[in-house]
Amino acid sequence: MTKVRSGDLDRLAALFERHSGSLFGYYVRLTSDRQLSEDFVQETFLRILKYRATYRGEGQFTTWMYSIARNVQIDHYRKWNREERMADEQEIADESGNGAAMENREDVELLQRALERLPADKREIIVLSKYQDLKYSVIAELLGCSEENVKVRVHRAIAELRKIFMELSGETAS
Amino acid sequence: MKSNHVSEELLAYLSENLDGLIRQRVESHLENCPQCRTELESIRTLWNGLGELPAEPQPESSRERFYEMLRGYKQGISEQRRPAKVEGFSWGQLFGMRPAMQFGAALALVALGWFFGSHGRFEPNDGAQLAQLQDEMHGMSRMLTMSLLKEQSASARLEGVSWSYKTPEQDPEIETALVQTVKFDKNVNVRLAALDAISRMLDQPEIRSELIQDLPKQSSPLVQLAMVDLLVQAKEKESVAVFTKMLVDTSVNDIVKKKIQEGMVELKGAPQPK
Repeated sequence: MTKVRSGDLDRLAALFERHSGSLFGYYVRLTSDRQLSEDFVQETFLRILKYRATYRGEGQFTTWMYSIARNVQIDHYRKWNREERMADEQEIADESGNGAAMENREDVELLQRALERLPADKREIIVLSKYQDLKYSVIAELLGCSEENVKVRVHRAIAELRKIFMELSGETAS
Repeated sequence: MKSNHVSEELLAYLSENLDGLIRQRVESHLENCPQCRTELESIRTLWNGLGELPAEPQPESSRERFYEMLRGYKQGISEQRRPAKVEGFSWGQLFGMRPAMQFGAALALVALGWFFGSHGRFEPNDGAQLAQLQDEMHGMSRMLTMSLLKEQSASARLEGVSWSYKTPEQDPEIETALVQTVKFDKNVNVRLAALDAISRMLDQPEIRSELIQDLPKQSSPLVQLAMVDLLVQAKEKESVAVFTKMLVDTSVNDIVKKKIQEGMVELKGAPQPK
């Protein structure tokens, strides 16, 4: 990225090849919208080009990239006032868990639905940690909070995901 | 003894986000606490289950779009860096903004008209201001000439030729643009208009030479007639060689030949221009 910053714009291609697939996955997990996710990936790399001078070369490139990626999404929803679509949709009742394994396809699909129903902020922190495989220290930098706070937030997010999952399992069983 | 449980640490433990000491404390607690072990297994199931959710492959079009964007971005930068032919002004920008520029130019000229109208008499100390205004007007006319001559529409190019009259004489760029228009414009009327505009520049041997070379190549007899007229008026004896060749060329229009014969008679008695 430092070479891109100093004007060697073709080096961005290597960054795109390395990170765009993962970034696309990140957006799809958050939005469940492939077309929108593709647009977000393009917008993210365009912003990387535009704002390359602001890359300070400290820390990981991925941290900087995800901070831009988050802003792309935030700006989009701010613009279109679609926050409500991302909002919490579920009242959660059942707190119990039974430790059952994801034994069949149905469970995986239920979990997918549960993840989609999770409030946007909780879904994001799970996606960053699980799918983007970012350490809590990096997530803390991205979200502008402490590592301890990230730990608490991930814990709460997974607890809520479990609640939704159990509720969906109950609906399916009944 | 709920406060001793480590449920808040379990996910961090699973995702390897705990450092040495805390990790050891969690492991040692798990060894002795069946409740936390059950909790760990429950979270592990969910956490690993998330890993089973299929990943969406990135569409191939994404790559194409990216490389297109990168190409466009680099092209945009190189256009911005290209030195403008007039200081502080880029022709590339002009074409992107032409209607706005024209509007601006029109406003500037109205303002200029008002200035000249309301300052009928200039005092000696107005000289600098007047010179500045004239410079601005020349710059604007020059800009419009150059931009309009590149337009698709013939009427716009004609307008460009008209603006060239308002540019100062001895402007090599305008001269070149007009000569190119005479040589290559596809519209006869535009070529004739450019030829008219060039008539005030015929004191320059290079321009006369350009016309001589182009004369036999012109497809339109009308333009050839006008060229012969101009060269004869300029008393350009160098044109005689081309005239002579054209007289024996069967493809040359008879009226043009007649004009050439008249011109050659006139040139014989005329002194060569400097």
